[in-house]
Amino acid sequence: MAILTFTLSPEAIGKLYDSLVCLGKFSEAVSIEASHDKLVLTALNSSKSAYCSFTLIGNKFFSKYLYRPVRSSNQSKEKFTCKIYNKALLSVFKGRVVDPTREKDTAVERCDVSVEDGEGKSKSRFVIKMVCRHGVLKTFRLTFESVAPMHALFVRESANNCWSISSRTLKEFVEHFGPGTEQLDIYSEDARVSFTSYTEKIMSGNEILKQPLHTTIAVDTLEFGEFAVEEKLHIVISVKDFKSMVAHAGILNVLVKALYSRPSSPMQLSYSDEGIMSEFILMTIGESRGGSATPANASRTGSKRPASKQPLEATSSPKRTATSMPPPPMNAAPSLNRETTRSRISRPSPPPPQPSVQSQSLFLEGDDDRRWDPANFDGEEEEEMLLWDTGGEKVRSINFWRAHDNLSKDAVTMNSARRHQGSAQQDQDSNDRRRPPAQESGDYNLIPTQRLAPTQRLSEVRGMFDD
Amino acid sequence: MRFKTSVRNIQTFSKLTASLSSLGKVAWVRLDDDNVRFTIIPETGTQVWAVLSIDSIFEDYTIQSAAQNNTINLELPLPPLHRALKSAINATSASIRLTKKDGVPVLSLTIITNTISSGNSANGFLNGANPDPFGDNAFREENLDANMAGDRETIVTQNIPIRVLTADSVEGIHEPRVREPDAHIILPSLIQLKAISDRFTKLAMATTTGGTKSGSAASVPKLELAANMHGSLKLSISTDALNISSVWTGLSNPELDPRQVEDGEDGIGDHPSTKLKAAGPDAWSTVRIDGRDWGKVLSVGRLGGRVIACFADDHALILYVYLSNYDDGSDDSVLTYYISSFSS
Repeated sequence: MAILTFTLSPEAIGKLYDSLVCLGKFSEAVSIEASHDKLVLTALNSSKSAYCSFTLIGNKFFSKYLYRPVRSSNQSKEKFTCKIYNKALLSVFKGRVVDPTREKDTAVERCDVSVEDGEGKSKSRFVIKMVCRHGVLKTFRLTFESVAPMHALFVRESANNCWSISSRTLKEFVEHFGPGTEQLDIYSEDARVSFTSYTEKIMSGNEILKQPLHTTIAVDTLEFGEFAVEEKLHIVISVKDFKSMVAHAGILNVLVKALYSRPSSPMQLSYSDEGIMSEFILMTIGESRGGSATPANASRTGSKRPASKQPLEATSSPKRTATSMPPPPMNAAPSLNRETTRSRISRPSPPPPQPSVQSQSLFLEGDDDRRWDPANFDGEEEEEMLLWDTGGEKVRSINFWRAHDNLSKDAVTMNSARRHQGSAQQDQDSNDRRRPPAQESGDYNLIPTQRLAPTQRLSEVRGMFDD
Repeated sequence: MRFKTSVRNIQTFSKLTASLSSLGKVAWVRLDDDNVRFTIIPETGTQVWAVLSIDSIFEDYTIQSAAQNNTINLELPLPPLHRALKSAINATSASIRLTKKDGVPVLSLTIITNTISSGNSANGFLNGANPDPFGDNAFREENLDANMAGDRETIVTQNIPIRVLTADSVEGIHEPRVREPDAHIILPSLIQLKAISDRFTKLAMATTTGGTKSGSAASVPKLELAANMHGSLKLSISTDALNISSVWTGLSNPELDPRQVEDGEDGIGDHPSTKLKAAGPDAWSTVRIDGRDWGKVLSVGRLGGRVIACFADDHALILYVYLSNYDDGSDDSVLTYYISSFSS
């Protein structure tokens, strides 16, 4: 007997997929919590500094939704909770969304999900049935782990700073940010608000050029729907988490609301769309702008305050310095040829202007600049942009909880007996952040051949800022 | 040391950085009173020496340096510059200035975008969500400060890390010297050339021994590019399994300018290209190039310049890419690509 059954329309499948993609940016596993009127999907990142949750309203989001708690040992459980490997869910829902204008034979008509939790009698499975056209039925049976999710708590009452802005506007902002930065600083002064994407990594010498782009966007407070924020307050969050939120919110046309109090306290970002409420709780970094790292265990504020007021304790782990960045390879000595004569190649006199691109191009039309990009012969997915290999990435983890043991119990909703089971799994995906791909130049064209006369390499040039 | 300029043509500048960054990640940039030079010298592959007239990308250009001819030499990472310029595509104005941030030298790109809308975007959204209950927008009430709202500006500042180089340190960097070319020809449409070259390289990779995944790059056959002095260009590639070629005819071989050739008119008479021309249409000058590197070179086509290829048989291929200038001024902007030929 299924304890939970629900049905999704094709449109809802698409929305669920978007949510799962977003959850996947925080954790490998997605926690599911079902109650009689709603289904809550959550993910907490491995450093416990970012939490993402989507609440799907039973009678609004789903075509059908039924939760039947099992009556075991005289007690009916209020909630059913489990945890599923997100990739499994993503692959089930991926590609099921079909453009309604382009009818496909295999288009999904609806999706029926039922959860069986036999507790010994029958198998516990998360069963997804895709009902397609022409009577095609695809059934997926996923295993799950019975773990209670960890929820981050946000105290609205203490959040005195508040702003709201269109998700489309945020999407435009985020597009200005280059890759590789770590922090996002939000600051306001004189009716201007600035969003700064930066990194605190300190580099020297040649590595200075590997410093990511430092971007500041300054906008008028009129861009915001409402704006009530303490003047000259720097609030710093992880730019990656913020981008993950914007990537999801940007799909929708909604008003994103931010609530926060002071540095080292969490920030809540929330928005809602038909039948689905999205909430992100991101830890803010202590006032450490300008390079000074927050020393480990510096914030002891939590112990002085009542636990209910300051439930999410933040500590910064000691900085790991980037040591593994290798020095640039030393190459042949600079050319001793110091002749100043310019090369005497006869340059043919240019003919009358006639661009080499002709409008009657045989192959492609339109002005798509990307067709000029070098072809990708490796068949691998191309990154949006090549990144510098940053080597040992400094992981700046901010914990919601200093340690599991001195948690205030009301801060986290969890089943204590199962707690370690859950956290163990979350630790697995720590250090999972993939390094940016190394530069791919020079992995071909390796045949030593007669080349042009060598000249000095730029990397060997000593700059005036080197010493 | 000061440097400040407005960007006159963001599109062109952005296309330039896109083309250059496909060949190397770091450029040596030389700014002075006369022009702007970008030089890319990758460890392997093609070198680019670009000389741009200031007017082609900048205006209100101010430069002040203790070095001779007001010269400033910079080492500039191209991907962040290109990324930064992306933010400026729809901008009202953009300017660049050399400055320091936390003691580190940066090129600071300031991009101003004016948003023209009758209300703030958030309200705009809410208006959309609550349509006029009477279905009649004719008497929609507006805020008194609607005009002010129409003038809102967004300022994006992109700081690109750079290194300032001393004049001494760049003194030893010289443009490669190549012998007089045997053939020079105006290339056909670069997008056509690129599409065919990429196709040939892919076919060759697919037919050479098994998986040509990364690492076995050395085994990838080389593209053979040849030109005669009678308006023909030939592109071919051969592997054990296939032998394909494509020939363009009716192209033009520009005349040499006697002023630029050693010994003037006499020099032209003895010039290798004159000899090749005399040898007839079956005399070719050939170079062997790496298909992937060639694809990166051809990305310069996005700038829409006219391209003259100079062939030094079995030695090197030099491309001169002339960019059409705004006012058709006397100083041309030219990008020079030095591509070495692989031995057969």
